[in-house]
Amino acid sequence: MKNIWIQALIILATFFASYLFVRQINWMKLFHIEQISRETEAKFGKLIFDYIQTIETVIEDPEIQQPIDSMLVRICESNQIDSKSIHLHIVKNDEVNAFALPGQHLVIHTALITDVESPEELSGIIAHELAHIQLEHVMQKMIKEIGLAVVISIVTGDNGAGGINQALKILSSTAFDREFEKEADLQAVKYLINSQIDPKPFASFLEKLSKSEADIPKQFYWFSTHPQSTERAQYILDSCPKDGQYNLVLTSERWNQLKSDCQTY
Amino acid sequence: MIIKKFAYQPSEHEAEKASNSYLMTLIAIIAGLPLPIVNLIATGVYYLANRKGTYFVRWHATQSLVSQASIIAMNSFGFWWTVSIVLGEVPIDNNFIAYLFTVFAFNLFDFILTIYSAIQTRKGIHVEWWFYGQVTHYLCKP
Repeated sequence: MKNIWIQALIILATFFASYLFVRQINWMKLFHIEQISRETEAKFGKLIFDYIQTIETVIEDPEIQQPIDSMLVRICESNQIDSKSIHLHIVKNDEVNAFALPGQHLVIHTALITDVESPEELSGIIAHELAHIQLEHVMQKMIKEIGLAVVISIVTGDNGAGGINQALKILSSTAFDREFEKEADLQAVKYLINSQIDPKPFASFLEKLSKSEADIPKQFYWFSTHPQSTERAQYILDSCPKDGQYNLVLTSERWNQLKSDCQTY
Repeated sequence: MIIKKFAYQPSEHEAEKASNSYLMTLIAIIAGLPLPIVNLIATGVYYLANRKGTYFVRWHATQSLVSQASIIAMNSFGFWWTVSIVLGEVPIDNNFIAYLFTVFAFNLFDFILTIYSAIQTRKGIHVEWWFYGQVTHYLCKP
């Protein structure tokens, strides 16, 4: 009987030793899996954005694009993120919303720009969505919600516009997991601090939301899909340094001009 | 794997039935992919059908069943890992691919041993697998 146990242990040890040995090979690199994943994600993001272009008005006006782009570039450059890899899109829409798409697309609705009170608040939301992109939450959420097979069928064109519409709805009007949201919030605070942008307005924005959460109209997607705002505001404030040095994001004239442009567009 | 002299010389009919217990595994592996449980169920059913058979038949049906039990454990883990990836619970990574290759290598080795055992037992030659043979002796008495 003792002999049997020794032999069982030898078999187990052989299995784990083989596994550890095979694991030394970088299979991901060998099969170009990361590259294929990136290409699939880029194609998926492009399909969704092309669909947005057919149903919404994408703003190309430099007066509106440039100030928001400057916020994004500032956050990216301060955090060693290639700003050219992030595709910023401002969409004319009455829903107060911003969301990330696969393939590093960041969509901001004009209603969000007109609704927030300061450029710091808007920077906080941009940093939060940027964190979702950088932490690769977008594709993980997509696969979790609709499954890998559906994602592949959309990318290969077997699913038609219905699949793309479903993907867009999930990305624009449902929240990430609580764990992902917290991770993105804390990463956003780091991005803001590195960019010398005060993160407290972002927390105040969430605090403000929590007070009016019961009265949030249905079109306030970014608010209603990001629950537990009080808790979020608290841990954002807790992670802010006491003696942070911050610079202005936009002058008040430019900020007011941007809001006015978005309202009248 | 060791070729040993059995307690008695099995008849032609016994050799055929004993060989079938290994063939059952092979057919079930092919039919049951990718569900790893099918081969264990098929081998188990064959074992139950022959549990009152002669010692040689019972012995080989048991060895075939026991050898499948450990394969099923590693295959099931790989199967559910794959399902988790497809459902987006976990991302695909190097550990997963390495595990698949390891499991594939062990399955291939098991497959070859099973074919060899089926051929040998069909000739009435008694083959004992390392470890599994000893477990079978423990479980299957004359």
